[in-house]
This record gives sequence, C-alpha cells and structure tokens, in this order.
Amino acid sequence: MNDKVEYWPRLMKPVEDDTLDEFIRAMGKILSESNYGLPLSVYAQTCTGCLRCSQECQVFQQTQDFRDTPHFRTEEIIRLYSEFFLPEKNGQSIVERTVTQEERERFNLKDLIESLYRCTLCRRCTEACPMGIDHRLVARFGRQILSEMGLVPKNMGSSTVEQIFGLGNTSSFPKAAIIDTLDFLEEDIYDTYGVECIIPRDKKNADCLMISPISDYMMEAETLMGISMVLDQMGLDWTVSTKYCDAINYGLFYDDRVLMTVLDKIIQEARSLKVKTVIIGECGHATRAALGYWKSHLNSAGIEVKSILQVTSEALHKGLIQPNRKKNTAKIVLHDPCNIVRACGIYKPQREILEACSTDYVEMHPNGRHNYCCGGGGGIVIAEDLEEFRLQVPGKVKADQIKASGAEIVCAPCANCKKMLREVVDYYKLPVSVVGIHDLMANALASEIPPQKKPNVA
Amino acid sequence: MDQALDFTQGPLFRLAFVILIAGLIRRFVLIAWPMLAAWIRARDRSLNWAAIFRDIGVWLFPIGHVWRSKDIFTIVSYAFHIGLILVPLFLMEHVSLWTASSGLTLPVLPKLAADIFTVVTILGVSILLVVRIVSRLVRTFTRTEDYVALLLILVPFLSGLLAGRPWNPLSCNAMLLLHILSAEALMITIPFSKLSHCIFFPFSRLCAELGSKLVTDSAYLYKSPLSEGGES
Repeated sequence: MNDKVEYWPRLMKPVEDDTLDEFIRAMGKILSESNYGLPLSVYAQTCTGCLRCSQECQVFQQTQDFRDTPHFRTEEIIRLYSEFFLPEKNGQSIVERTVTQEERERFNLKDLIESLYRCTLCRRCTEACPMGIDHRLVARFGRQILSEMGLVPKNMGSSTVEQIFGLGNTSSFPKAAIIDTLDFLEEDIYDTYGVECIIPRDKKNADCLMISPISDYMMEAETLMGISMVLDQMGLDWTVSTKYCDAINYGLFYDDRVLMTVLDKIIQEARSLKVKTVIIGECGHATRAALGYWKSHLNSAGIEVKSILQVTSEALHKGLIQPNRKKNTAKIVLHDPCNIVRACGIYKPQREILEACSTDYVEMHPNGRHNYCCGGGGGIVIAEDLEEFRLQVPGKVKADQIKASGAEIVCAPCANCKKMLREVVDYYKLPVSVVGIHDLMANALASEIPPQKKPNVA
Repeated sequence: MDQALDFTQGPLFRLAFVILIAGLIRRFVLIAWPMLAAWIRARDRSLNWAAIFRDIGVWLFPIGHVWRSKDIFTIVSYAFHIGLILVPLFLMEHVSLWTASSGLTLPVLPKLAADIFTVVTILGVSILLVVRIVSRLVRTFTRTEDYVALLLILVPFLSGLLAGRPWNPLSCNAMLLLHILSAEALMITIPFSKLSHCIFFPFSRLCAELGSKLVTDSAYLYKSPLSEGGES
C-alpha cells in the first residue's frame, strides 16, 4: 500500500509534440484576460529556493516525489512564462512564431500537467512560504490553462455542465424531487427532533436566501435540517430557492469562467427573489467562491453574502437560539476545512457553535491556519479515477489525526470534506462517524418532549 | 596596497553602493507600475490590508514557524539573516565609515555580539551550502545562482572576521582588501539576482491578491452566458 502511487494519465490526453504549443497559446490568451501575469513576474524574482513549501506539502510528505512539490509546479510555470511572455526576454510575440523542438525538450510538460491535478489546492505551501508566494494561485493558473485546452477531469466537467446547462445542480437532481425532499424534511424534523419547522421556498422579498450544496438535499439531510431549525428559531425571514439550489462551485478548482457563471446563477436568483442577504450553507468551496469573488460580479451590489457559520454564531451571541449542550456528549473532533479557515479566515464561529451544542470536543493537531487538508481538496474528491491516490496519499494524514484524537465523531463544516472523510474512515476502518456542525446543532435544538406526545398539528 | 585600499574604500565603494540602491529601486519600480495597473484593471478593488500587514509582520520575525518546523535548513535559513543584516550596518568599524561618508551616526553593536552574529552567519552559510549539496530534494532544485549567492556572502563575512585577528593567514591589508572587494561584489550582485528578494518580500502577498482578481476588460468573463442580472 505504501508503494509509490502511480500517475494516472487516463483522464488527460497523452502529451504530444505540439501540446506545448497549445499550452503556450492558451497561456497567452488567459494572461491577456486576467491579472495572473503580475504575480508570475514577481515570483520569478522572489523565490529563494528554500523549499519550505515542499516540506509542508501534504502530498509530498507522503510520496517524496519531486514532481509533487509546489516548487516544481511553480518553477516550471514561471519558466514557461519567463521564456515566452516576459517582455524583457522576448521581443517577438509567441503567436508570431512556433515553438522550437529545442524549447519543447527544455520543459517537462507531461509531469507538470499530471502534477497539477495531484494538488489539493489547500495552501499549506503558501502559509509556509517566507516570501509569500501563492503556489495555489500558480497551480490554479495552470489548471485554467488546461481547462482552456479542454483537459478537465471527467466528473468535474460533467457535473459542471449539468449545473450550468442541465438541471441546475451538480447531482442532476430534478426540481420536483427537490420540492418533495423539502416536504419530507419538514416532516422528518418533526419526527426526529420534535420541532415544527417550516422551510420557506421561493419567498419573494424575504431578507435572506439560504443556498446550500445539493448534497444537503440527499446524503447530508441532517445538515439542512439543522440549518432550517436554527434559522427558524432565530426568527429570520428566510427562504430557499427551488429554482436554483446548489451552492457548489467547482469553478474555484479549475476555471474562473465557471466560477463566475455559477455565482451569476446565485446572484440572479437573489435578485429575482429580491433578497438582501445570501447565506451559503456548509460548504468550503462554495463559501470561498462566494465570499472571495462576490464583489467581482458586476451585479452583486446591494446584496450581502455570509456563511451560515457566521449567522449561527451571531444567533448564539444574541441569545436567539438556546441549544442544549447535553444532547451531544460523545467525543467530537473538529476538522478545519481549508477553504473556510485558511482562505476565508472563519476560525472562531464554528468553535463557538461547537462549544454551545456539545460537551466534549477536541481539536486536531495541527489545526486552524496550519491544518491538514481532508485529502480531497481542489476537486480531487470528485474525480473518480483519483480515489486510490487520495485515500493513500493525502488522506492518510487525516486518518492518523483522527485516530490520534480518540474521538467517536468527526465534525466537518464542509460537504466536500465530509464526503472525503467518510471515504477515509471506511478505507482505514476507523470506528468514527462523520457529521456536519448543524447536524449536532439539530440534536441540541431538539424538543425536550418526544414527538408523539405533542398535539396533532397536521 | 594603500592606494588600492583607498580606491576600494572610496570611489569603488560609492559606485557599488549606488549600483545597489539604484538597482533595487529599479526592481521595485518595474513591479510597482504593473501592480498599479493590475489594481486599476480589477473589478473588485478592495484589498485585505489587515491580512497583508499581518503576514508581513509575522514573516519579518517568523520565530514560531521556524521553531515548529524542527528542520535544520529552515532554522539556519532564518538565523543567518540576523548577522547578515546587523553586522554590515552596525559593526563599529563600519559605523565609522558610514559616519565619515554621510554624517549619519548609527548605533554600534557591542564587539562580542558582533562576533557572535558573524560566526553564526558564517556557520549558517556553510551549513546551507552543505545541505544544498548533500540533500537529494534540495540538490534537485538548486540552481547555480543559489551556490554563487552563498559563496558571495561567505567570503566577505569570513574575511571580515579574520582581518585584524591573530590567526589571519594573509597580511592584514590583503585580508582587508579581499573583504572590501568581496563585499562590493555582493552589493552589485544583489539587485540582479534572487538576493533582491529583500525588496520583494513585502509585496508578494499583495501581488497574489491582485493577481487573483477578475478584470474589467476580459471578454469571456464580462459576458456571462446566462445574461447579466435582471428579472428571471
């Protein structure tokens, strides 16, 4: 099991002689339409070769393969950039000439392309770099180039197409099924927790639109139930949308166009329902994409965006909800999703929520800004072909951390992380269950009176 | 020999100093304009200054990070900078030169501290050189420029320590000449190599923020395929 995990050229086209030409042209197009050239030219002069990035990289720590280091990826892309695009070196624009064979041999394109999709985009490297080089940005730029060339892992590409041009969500869930699910969840909240809770849908002029990852309607229903109970008890004027209900934003992993298109759908829906705030449910990349890129959208003025973690923790501060800590007495270990803690800086709210709704929670070590990725970051958990890689390489650290904590429950406020951690506990046979934060909150907000004794409110 | 010393301490030093400062300013200006252009071009011009300044502050004195890494290469990479910056500026012999040429009075390092810092820097650079040769990971990614930079730092510090000491193998003046010439070689190399990371260090995180911003004049991002807002 610990033999070097093989590369996986099955999803990508084989690297041919002219792939470098295509790569450079795609790079040129993206450079002209973005600000990526600036950090590349600065990083070309800043990297001191100290290799802190590589020592902290979760993937490299397991494989010890030089091609898995952030330094290799960044250096290769910067060399390509310097060779073909830096104005000081090259007077002739690349489009006016073809790449020479000698140039093709100088660059290790095959390893670069494969390495770009072995990165969890978790930013541990950026955190560790003394010069502040953002390796995630460079890897993301590399993936944008691959996307321009049409090279995207199958599942990511097809889920995105479904979300934008198909049924409107990454899991091909039809609208009728969403409405049925919402009805069912309202009943389920009453049956399981003894609480009457209405989930408003498509309510115009509500204050807030709550949009969660589509998995909350299917495998992670307890999270959606918990969120509904919190927002209901807070007395918030909120709604979900059955027309567009998937906050998941894979564009954050590989393509800025997809990122903005998905955000566009959310903002369009928020405008049509005339809400003032959009609340993103428990999902790391949805949160990061929304919070980080909201202001870049030309039509988002006047609408605020928040994470559900911030909303719930505010409700706790104001005393609007009163969870009972004693409903969650099992030992819980908190997992920090990279996109929520490192990228958005949301560190305290989830801890305040856990303090309020459980009696025994512990931290992983390291945690917070220095945490380890769940193992499935950067879209790796979505690509089927990467299952073995993600479980044996970045996922192994997670399994060790969970074992070391001695907890019975792993709490992860992110749909991606939950999916990955479930795979990890299955693979490594750990006797641990994986939940989201609002699952625990739902337990803590459950009624003291068992449901059967309440008067019939059908 | 005296003439050579006067020349290297006088006009040649001034030339090297001017090249150093002008070179660093040039490097800065060459990124300052693109940074401004990127900011102007960005759709969302807000910047998270708190995070940027926090990061600059933490990395000026990354004691926590270096200690937690428990790695010799990391600890030495940081530790040798202390002497590298303090000794050329605040050593007593250097301070009299600064005062004589510019009238500036800088504080003076106590002799023992200066010696300790110098020795730490020399040992540090030697350890880094050894690691760069011996460790497979580091060797794979080491360029010629990295070895040259380390030697360029080692020679002035070693010759500076030895000049005026009883165990100096050369004559005092010869060692001093070596010290001055090698220091000047280092000064003129800084603006044209990775050693200029000193000037870029505060700007990398700012450039990362600017680099990830979406731009106003991008054709394929401006027109979302699903139209721009309005009633559904």
